[in-house]
Amino acid sequence: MKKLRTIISGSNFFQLVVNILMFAFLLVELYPIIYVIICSFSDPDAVARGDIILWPVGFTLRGYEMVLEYSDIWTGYANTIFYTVAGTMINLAVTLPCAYALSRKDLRGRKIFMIFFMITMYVSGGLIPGYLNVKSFGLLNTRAVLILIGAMSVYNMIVARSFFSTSIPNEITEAARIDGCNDFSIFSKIILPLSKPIVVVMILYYGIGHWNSYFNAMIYLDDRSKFPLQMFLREILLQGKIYQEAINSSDISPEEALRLAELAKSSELIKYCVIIVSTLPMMIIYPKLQKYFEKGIMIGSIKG
Amino acid sequence: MKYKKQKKQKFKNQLKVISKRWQLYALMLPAILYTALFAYKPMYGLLIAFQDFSVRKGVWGSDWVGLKHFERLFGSYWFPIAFRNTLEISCLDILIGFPLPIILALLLNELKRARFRKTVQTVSYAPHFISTVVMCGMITMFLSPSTGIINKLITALGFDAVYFMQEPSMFKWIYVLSGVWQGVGWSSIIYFAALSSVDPSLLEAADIDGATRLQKIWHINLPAILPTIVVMFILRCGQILSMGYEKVYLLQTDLNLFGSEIISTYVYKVGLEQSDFSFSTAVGLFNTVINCTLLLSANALSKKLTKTGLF
Amino acid sequence: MRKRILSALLASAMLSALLAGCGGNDQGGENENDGNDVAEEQGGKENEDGEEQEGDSVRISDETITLTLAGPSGATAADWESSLQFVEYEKRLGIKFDATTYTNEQWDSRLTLMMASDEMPDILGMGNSPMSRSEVEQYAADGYLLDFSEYLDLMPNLTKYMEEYPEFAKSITLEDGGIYGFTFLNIRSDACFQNYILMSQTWLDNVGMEQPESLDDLYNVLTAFKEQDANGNGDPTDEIPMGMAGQSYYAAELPILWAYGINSTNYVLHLSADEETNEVGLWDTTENYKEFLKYMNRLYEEGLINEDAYIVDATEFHTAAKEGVYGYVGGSGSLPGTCQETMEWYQETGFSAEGYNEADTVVLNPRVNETFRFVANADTAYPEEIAKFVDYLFTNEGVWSGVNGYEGITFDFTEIAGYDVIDHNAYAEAADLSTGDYRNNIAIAPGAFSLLAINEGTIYDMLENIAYEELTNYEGDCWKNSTANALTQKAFRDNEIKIMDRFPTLYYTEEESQERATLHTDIENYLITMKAQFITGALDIDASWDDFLNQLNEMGLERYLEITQDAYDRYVAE
Repeated sequence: MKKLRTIISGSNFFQLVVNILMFAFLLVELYPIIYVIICSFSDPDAVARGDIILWPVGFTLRGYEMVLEYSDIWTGYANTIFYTVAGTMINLAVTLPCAYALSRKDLRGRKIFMIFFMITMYVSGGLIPGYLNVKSFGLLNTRAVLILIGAMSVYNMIVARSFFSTSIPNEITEAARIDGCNDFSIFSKIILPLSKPIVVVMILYYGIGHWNSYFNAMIYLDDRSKFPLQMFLREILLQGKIYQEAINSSDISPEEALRLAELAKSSELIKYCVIIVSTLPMMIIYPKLQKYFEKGIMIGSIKG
Repeated sequence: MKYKKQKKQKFKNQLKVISKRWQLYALMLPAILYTALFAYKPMYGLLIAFQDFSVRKGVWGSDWVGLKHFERLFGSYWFPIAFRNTLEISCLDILIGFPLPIILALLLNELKRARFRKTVQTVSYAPHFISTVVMCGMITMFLSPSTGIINKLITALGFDAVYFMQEPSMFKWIYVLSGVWQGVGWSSIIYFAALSSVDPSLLEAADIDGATRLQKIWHINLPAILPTIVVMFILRCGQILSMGYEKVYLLQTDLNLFGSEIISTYVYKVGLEQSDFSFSTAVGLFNTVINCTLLLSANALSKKLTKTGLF
Repeated sequence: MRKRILSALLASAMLSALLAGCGGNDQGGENENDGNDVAEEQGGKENEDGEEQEGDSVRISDETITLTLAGPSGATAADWESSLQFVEYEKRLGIKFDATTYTNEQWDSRLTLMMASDEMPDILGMGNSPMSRSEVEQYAADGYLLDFSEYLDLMPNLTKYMEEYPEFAKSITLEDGGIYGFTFLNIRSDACFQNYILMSQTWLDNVGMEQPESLDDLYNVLTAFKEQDANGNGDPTDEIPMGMAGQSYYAAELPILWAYGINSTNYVLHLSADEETNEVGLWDTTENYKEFLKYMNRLYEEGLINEDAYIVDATEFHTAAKEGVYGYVGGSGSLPGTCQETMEWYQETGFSAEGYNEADTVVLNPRVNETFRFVANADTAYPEEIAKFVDYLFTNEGVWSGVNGYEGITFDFTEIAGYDVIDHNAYAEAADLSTGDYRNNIAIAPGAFSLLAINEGTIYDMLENIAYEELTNYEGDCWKNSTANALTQKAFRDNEIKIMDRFPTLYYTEEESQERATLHTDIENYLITMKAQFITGALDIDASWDDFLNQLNEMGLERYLEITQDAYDRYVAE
């Protein structure tokens, strides 16, 4: 009896429960991904019928072929990588110093600055003034516009600020100051190395944002050679609808109609393939960033 | 006398601090410049909420109509329904969708095997990348009364198939739970990060005192991420009315409209009938007012309860 | 199988007169022929066979001028400038287009921004994503748009079409009498009936029943589908007699709606006008509509309509329909898909309903698509040239140029049973492309300039005029894809059909349309959800009817009808 109680209250039992819970959770979260992957290889009609459960039905690679046949895809990939890397770097350079400064209790006017930034979370001028503004800077149809617009998200800045103000002990700043460091070097030499977890979170938030964004490209870019990946993926998706419409126009030959019907059918697949194609790089990079979330990484570096 | 002297001394110190802290202001400079040039400069566009905006005449030349567009919104039959639905869905989302990522982060933190933990993390974050269109397709498919996997389970257990997409009252659950399914892993990232700042020596000390795992979670881990939780909660409260239209629109059916029409879908539908910048700006402004009020209340509340807040 | 197509096609010869007049206009056939003649007389110097040589085109400008052009080009931003169509324009007409294209998705916001920053080009060619009338009204009021009514004397072909088709003239003339752009006029014989409403002949044969004539017949047929093994797979329980999917595939209910005298092809919000008093009303609040709902509710409650009719995903439904899950199904999309799949179906046209309509009744689609595909900048340096160019687009050669290109450059005429049909095959083969790809990517700039659709040069020319014997002699297959049209024509021939006039498309002033936008959304939204609740039995029709009417009044139905009445009165007065 006593033994049982110790098992229940003991860490082994707890570990077991957590493990079971997390395993169940893993399955629940894994399923949509598996489903999307299976669908991207399956006969679209089978998908629409609801036949897909755990195994591809009517295996096909047509969806991926259609995506890869699209020659602009690689231009898009290259551009997106550029926008993501350059954009995220600017984001970090603008956000982190600002967040750090606002986290310092000895900054006078903190509240006013916070309000100054937070207003922009809620109030924006809208599409037309925004466009005219970008135009006035001569940034239309330049790569710079995709990097500069959204250089800082106030939401992310606040998240970073709260990390700085709660996770970095005050003593560190004090000690550094006694050693004769100024605020620039405190931030760059001490705070930043200690804040890897939040830097990684910011890289993820901003990076994914850049990776998935298309709206600014749609509004500000004309030049196809500058389009990011998502623009091309949307075009491919839209193409499916166009095929569907073309079949309805009655002045096409029967061969053409059959071919279009085939294309329209395959393009149903594309929406699944597109997710895989655009997500894969993210899924490869993420595990590499995870190590920065390990427990005690910060304390370890302080001691070191 | 002594008191005055102290005060004077304090003021002097403060001045000294400010002049010494110019570098902090310099650190904020890029952010301030960006915000001024790209957020504040075009903000005059807000005025069109009070105009019949004409593209050619621009913001400065269009006719002023006062609160006409707000009256249009408030006078609409669907507005109260849409407003209520938006609030209901959003609150349910906070109630369920807000704590779960925290619990997930805390539990994952307890997993001993690093490999398993990393796998769960990576997998849980992947559904975030599934596009809304595909996600909604999956939801409709899984909930289908005839072919859906969930109803197959229900009928296999001997019950009647449930017409999930037909009931207005079920809509908010479908929306929120599917949202949790898709987003819980992604939302927990910030809490993982916060947990990494817990001092391991504290946990070691607790071990020596014979604390159970739950006690350690409750007394060490949770307090460590509490400030993050508070900030995230306040920010979330400030977004209550800003629900995007896309997912709701895709999940709407003719039958669940009374439970699924929200402000953004309503505005979208009006826009389909006649695109109107002034009207949509007016609605945006209304949302802003409500959202800000909620954010400020949440901030005040949190200051009272936890002594922390945004400002 | 080919026999069946052929026999269906034959009908066309006899039917041309009936089909030609959309909206049951008795003079329709005559009108159309007149229209064609005009086009040939005025349009160019082409001879009777429609053949012409390069250089026949009327040169619009002696010195080549450059016009800037912008427009949506579909899924991708296509290269219009290098299309053979545009190359030929420069050679033949002396007009060079400097074109910028956008994807359809980009277009709406880019158009607004273009206007807001005062960068409108000379011409907007918007066939792929047309502009609404209220937008044209706004831009015209702001002085952006060129008023073509001042140049009508340069536009004889256009004027003729405007005279022949008053509804077209109305659609392009704004309140102030100005013509600020052009809509799309379709006078091809398939223009008016584009809903597929199909009943499976196989299922009918299997249950041994005739094609239903009345609503009672329909009920009996659907019941028989349900109770018997209509699909012939040995299992009498797996049939779903009638298939519908909310607002996407609802065409199967239209004949039922028509049988109750409701002259609409809408999903909800069926406007009506009293023939004598011209008073505008809403069918959705009448006893007719109530009866319609009750009939539908009966079908639904008895399991004759798919149970998930109001929640099913459109793609899922379409797949099921293609595979023949439903015995009676409709839609405006590509439901029959290919001709093989269509053959076992017949096109349902209309039913009679006792006390409402004694004859089968249909409502036809309009000939005019009232959204604008072409507008020009008021400040252009070349207003007269643009006017002449528009007029050119209303000649046969101009129509072809926008859809097919030029003879001898991108197509040849193939003779089918004495009728000339445009054929891209030789050119497509030379380019090693399918005809569709060749046409869309090399020959023309799809959607840039297409304001009129005509029978000449298409298979419909033959379908309308050819005699049966000649048709059977012809072994070519380029007409086969017109089976859907053939099905329709067959349906018209086989049935005594009453054609109801459709409620006209009305035009609102800017102020009206702003007030109307919220009212319309409110009412339509409410009608949509109530319709589904009534039909599925979530609400009892008799018990909730008064409440339903009260709610409608509460959300401003009266005001909505007032606005509609004003617009209708203006329409009648014209």
